Amino acid sequence: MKIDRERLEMLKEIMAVDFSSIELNLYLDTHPMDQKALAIHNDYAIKLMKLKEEYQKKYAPLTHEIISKCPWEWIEEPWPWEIDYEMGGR
Amino acid sequence: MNKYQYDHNYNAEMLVSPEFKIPVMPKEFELATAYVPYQVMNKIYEPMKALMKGTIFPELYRPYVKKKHDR
Repeated sequence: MKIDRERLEMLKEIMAVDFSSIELNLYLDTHPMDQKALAIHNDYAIKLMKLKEEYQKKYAPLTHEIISKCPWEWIEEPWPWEIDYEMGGR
Repeated sequence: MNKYQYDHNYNAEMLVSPEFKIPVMPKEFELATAYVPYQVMNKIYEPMKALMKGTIFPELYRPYVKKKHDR
């Protein structure tokens, strides 16, 4: 399924920052006093919120938690497994 | 003292076949005690690289690399 390069890059960025945020979450679970990790996590949280907001405004919903226009936007194309993530090369 | 002191002067060759050696661990590693060293965050990969490597921590990046002599 082809989506334009810019949308794919933003989606990959969201995936990367989301992944890193979860990694920090796991680390902070056992190192709650690590202020450096906490600062980075909060940075990523802000960045993630902005990226997701922008992506969803510009393209399509990432989760079902949306105020959708009619028809219901959640079933809009493409589904995640239909996207060719390698289009832009590794 | 731990009465099951790990006896270090056994003859490894005698116990095993040639191609399989028992690694001798330092004395302080006691039998049947699991160790997870406490991790302290140092450097982390930037997000895109972390996603590709599967971790943000370089110290935890340990891909399975097939060694030459693996059958």
